[in-house]
Amino acid sequence: MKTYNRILFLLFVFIIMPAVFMMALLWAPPAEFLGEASRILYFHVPVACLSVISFIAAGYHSIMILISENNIEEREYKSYNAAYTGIIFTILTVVTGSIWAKISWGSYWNWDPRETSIVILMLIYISYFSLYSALKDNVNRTRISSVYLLIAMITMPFFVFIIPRIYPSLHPDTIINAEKKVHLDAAMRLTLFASVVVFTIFYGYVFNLMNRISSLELKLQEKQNDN
Amino acid sequence: MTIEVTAAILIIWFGIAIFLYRLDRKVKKIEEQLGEK
Repeated sequence: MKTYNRILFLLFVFIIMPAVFMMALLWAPPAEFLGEASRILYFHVPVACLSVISFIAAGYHSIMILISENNIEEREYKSYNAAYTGIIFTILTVVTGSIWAKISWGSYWNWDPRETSIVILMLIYISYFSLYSALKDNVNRTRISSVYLLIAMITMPFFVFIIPRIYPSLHPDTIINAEKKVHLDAAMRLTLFASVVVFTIFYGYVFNLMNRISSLELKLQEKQNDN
Repeated sequence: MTIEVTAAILIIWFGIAIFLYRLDRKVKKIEEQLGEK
């Protein structure tokens, strides 16, 4: 890490992110009716957004594998890492959502359309890792798994945006709603926005770090093959 | 109660941040070693 990058990184992880956590937990007012438990919103919404972003990134790299002959190995580990971060963020979305559901609705699991659809999406992506592992010795592993990720990305908007809006749900009104209005107090909106931004930057950093490690593994493998 | 939750989250966060910083340094070191060879 270069010196200025290191300073930015230290500033970000030791000052900006803790400041946003404190904004979320101490400064922003609790939501009407939902009370103090509503503060989980500032963690639940960013991780849900990042799961969608990660799956789009995985789909994008898969498309590039299928249409381009260049940098296939690099794109392969990028699509894998994006799907991996996506599944981590999806699990975090389900966990934070379940905690919130327990406090608001009285049960961790209610078979709500939004809960069910996100779990189906999670299973679709977990299947990708099974497929990827199963095709270890297959020469067409990259292309087959890319096609699977592409199909998974196409199904994602149905599970995240369409199905939860078709069926009646207990879930609070989403940020992207039919009225096109964010029903949040100004301080809550600012905190949510700050939270989404810092989590996205953090995701970018972690994704980059994972790609660097994958690149090193690839280089080591090439060196071993040469020897 | 909120203060305790905030303190717990911040402690966990600082742990994650230190871990990531150390990991980043290790990766950078290996990258430099592989680049030199």
